Parts: sequence; C-alpha cells; structure tokens
Amino acid sequence: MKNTLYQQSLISIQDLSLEQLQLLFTLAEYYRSHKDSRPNSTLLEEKIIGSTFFEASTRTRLSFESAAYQLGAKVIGFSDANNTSFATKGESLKDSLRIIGSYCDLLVMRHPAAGSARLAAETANVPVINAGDGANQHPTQTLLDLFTMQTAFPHLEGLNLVLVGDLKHGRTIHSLVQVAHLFKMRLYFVAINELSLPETLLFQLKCQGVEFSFHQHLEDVIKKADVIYMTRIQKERMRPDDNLQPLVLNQNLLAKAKAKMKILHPLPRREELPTELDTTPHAYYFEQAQNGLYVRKALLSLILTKEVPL
Amino acid sequence: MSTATLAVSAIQNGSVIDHIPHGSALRLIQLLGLDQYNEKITLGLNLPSKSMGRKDLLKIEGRLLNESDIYEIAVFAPNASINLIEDYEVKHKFTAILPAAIKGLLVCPNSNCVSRNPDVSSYFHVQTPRQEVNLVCHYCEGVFRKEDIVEYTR
Repeated sequence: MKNTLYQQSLISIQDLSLEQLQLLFTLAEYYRSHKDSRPNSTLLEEKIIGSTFFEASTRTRLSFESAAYQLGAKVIGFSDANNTSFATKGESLKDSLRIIGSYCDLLVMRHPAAGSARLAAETANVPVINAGDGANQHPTQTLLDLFTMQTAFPHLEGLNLVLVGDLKHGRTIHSLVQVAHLFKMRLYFVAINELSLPETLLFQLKCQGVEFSFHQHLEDVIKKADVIYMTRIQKERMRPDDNLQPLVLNQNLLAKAKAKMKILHPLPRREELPTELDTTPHAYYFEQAQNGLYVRKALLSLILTKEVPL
Repeated sequence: MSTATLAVSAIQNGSVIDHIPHGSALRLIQLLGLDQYNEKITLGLNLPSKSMGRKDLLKIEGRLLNESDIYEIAVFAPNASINLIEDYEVKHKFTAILPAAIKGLLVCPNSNCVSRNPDVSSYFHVQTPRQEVNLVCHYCEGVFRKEDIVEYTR
C-alpha cells in the first residue's frame, strides 16, 4: 500500500480521495481491532504535535492528544486561546501560526473563523489537520462518522442517511454531506426552516448529483433510515434571543425504525437525544466517539510516516 | 437624434466595454473602482443589441484596462468585448475570458471567513457549472453566485 497522505494537510474532507479514505479506514480498523495491545507505540517518538485549540473542544482535542501519546509523540499547545499572544497582545493569526508551526512537526488546529485551517496550511511550514474551522469543516469528525458506519454496515454505498437538527451551523453535517456522492448515499434533511442546510451546500450537492429531500418531522422518514445523525442546536453561534426548539428522537419514533438502524451523534448532546435511548440496540454514538481515537491515530501515523505502518 | 449617435461618442484614449449583459454595467463601475474616477465615463444602459436583445456599454476616458481588469470583468460580464483606444483608434480588442481564480479584489460574503482579516487576501476559484458563474472561496469554501458578491476591496 502506498501512503499518499505523507506530509499532507487535511483541511477539507474534499481533500481526500476515495483511495485515501480507504487507506485511513484500513489503518483505523487495525488500531481498533488491536486496541488492547496498542501497536506502533513508538512510531512517532521523535515527533512533536502542536495542539492549538483557539475554540473549546473536549472529544476532538483529547482524542487527538491521546492518539499522539499512544503513538509515542509529544504534545505541546493550548486549549484556551485567551492565554496566548494572539488573544492578549493582538498578534495576527498568520504570525501566530508561522511561529507555532516552527516549534512542531504537525499542527492540529481548531479556530472559530471559517477558512482558518486553510490559512494555517499555507502559513505554517508543517502539515495541518483541521479540527474544526467555524461553521465550515470538521473533516476528522467525518472520517470517524464514515468509519463508524463502516463498522456497522457491510458497506457504505447506498446508505440512507437522515440528518437531523441544526443543519445550518453544524460543521460535522457540512463535512459529511460533501462525501455523500462518493458512496451514492441518499440524504434526508430533517430541520426547522431556520436551521436548514446552507444554500451553497445544497447547490454543491445538486452539482454532484446527490439525491436529497427536506422534511419537517422525523416520523416522515424514520422507516427509511439506515443511519439517523442527530445534532444539537448550536446556541453559541446564534443570537441570545433565538429560542429554537430541538427535534427530539424518542422511543415511539424508534419503534418504526429498521432493526439495524444506527443512531449517530457528534456529541455533546442536549435534549434532542434523551439518555433513555442509550440502552437501545440503535444507540451507536459512544462507539462513534471512541472510533475518533482510532481514526486520529491512523491520520497522525500516515501524515508523519512515509510507509503505511501495518 | 438616432440611438446610434447616442451610443457611440468617440473617446480619444481609454477603454470601451461593449456587450455587457444589461443590468451589469453599474456593477462593473463599482468593480473597476470607477465610482471614484475623475475622468469622463459614458454609460449606456439597455441599448438595443442584435445578439443580446439588450446590452449595456461603458466608455472610460483615460484608462487602459489591464489583464487583471479584463479577468474581473469576465466574472460579471462574460463575453463582453473590450476595445482599447489610442488617439481615437482601436489598438487592441479582447473578449473577456473567465479566469481560473481571482485574488484580492472581491470580498467574501461570509462575514466569518478568515479572508476578512486585514492581512489575508481574498481568493476565489471560478467554476462554471451549467453555464453559470460560481465563485468558490479558497478559505471558507463557500460557493457563491456572482450576485452574492457585493463588496470590493478596490
């Protein structure tokens, strides 16, 4: 297997070819199936990962840092931008990125401005992994979402995806729908009008020939779903006086679903996904979150080593 | 007075942009920074055209459009014809051809885009699916129609 990800940045999910996705999933599956023996524990022992989170994160940051440690790398960085020169001394983002890049071998970055990760990749002299840029992209979440679906279904081709909640602000949604065409997935968008998918993305899906439809209620489409992808309403990206009510998944709705249907959620969750569903056979979001570790281990391994470490 | 006489008042040195889709000339004035220009500008709106039905036309005294101007014009007036005039004679004639990318002129409509920072230049990739002109922001990846662009850095 040839490693075409070596020294490459991952900014947008669209940067990856189908072959690169498959390569990542192969290595992620290797790490998942050997989770107890933790192979490649010294693979990155000479490497330093810059973990730069200008915006809050729990799962993404900790799974990246855990992935780095499990591969033997060292981690430097910050999880609170308020303690940086960028926030306190007015340093430009470009200057900050250039300097941080000179201290490490790879940058993992989350930032509230859309496009900040692309800017980082052009400014820092090391590969950059986008860990979320505003409402734009969250490509590693999409990798783990796809990988999780692949562990639950024989193949990804032709799956019916029902995407629910805040489709306007959810960057996990924005990244995920952009790969639907690669697997000929059918998309069902369930959201109130105020939180529907941005026009520009719909336009892009049309150009890619993706089949999709809009719905106001989950019960209209639940029978068709292979995967229900729930998202929370992102109040932090709205005005304080916006008071939008979430679409809630419940046991009554689940009674109409296919037996093998899986529920995914990028977490954190709110009332849209009640904890009473955690024990149903459909709940798959904790496995999804755990898969983030294996996918991120695979990504760090492939970007920082020339050969595929299998 | 005939329509032809109204439309064709000669200029000594400068540029003539003809065959502009009707309704687009005012946007070109903004795009080329001509709203701050001190020389004579002749603007023709809704002029009759055999090939287009209606067209707009711009004559700019004293400014020879350069290559990057012509690319930018092409986004909003694809296939416009551009004549560079020297001493009342047409010295060069071009058709506005779409560029592959436009750097540093258009402001990204996404208010949260990193290209809005003062030390970052905007950068759009030009795509033409189904005969339309789309501008894809290199940074925030937003896909915009040309009508969505309402601010310029010039």
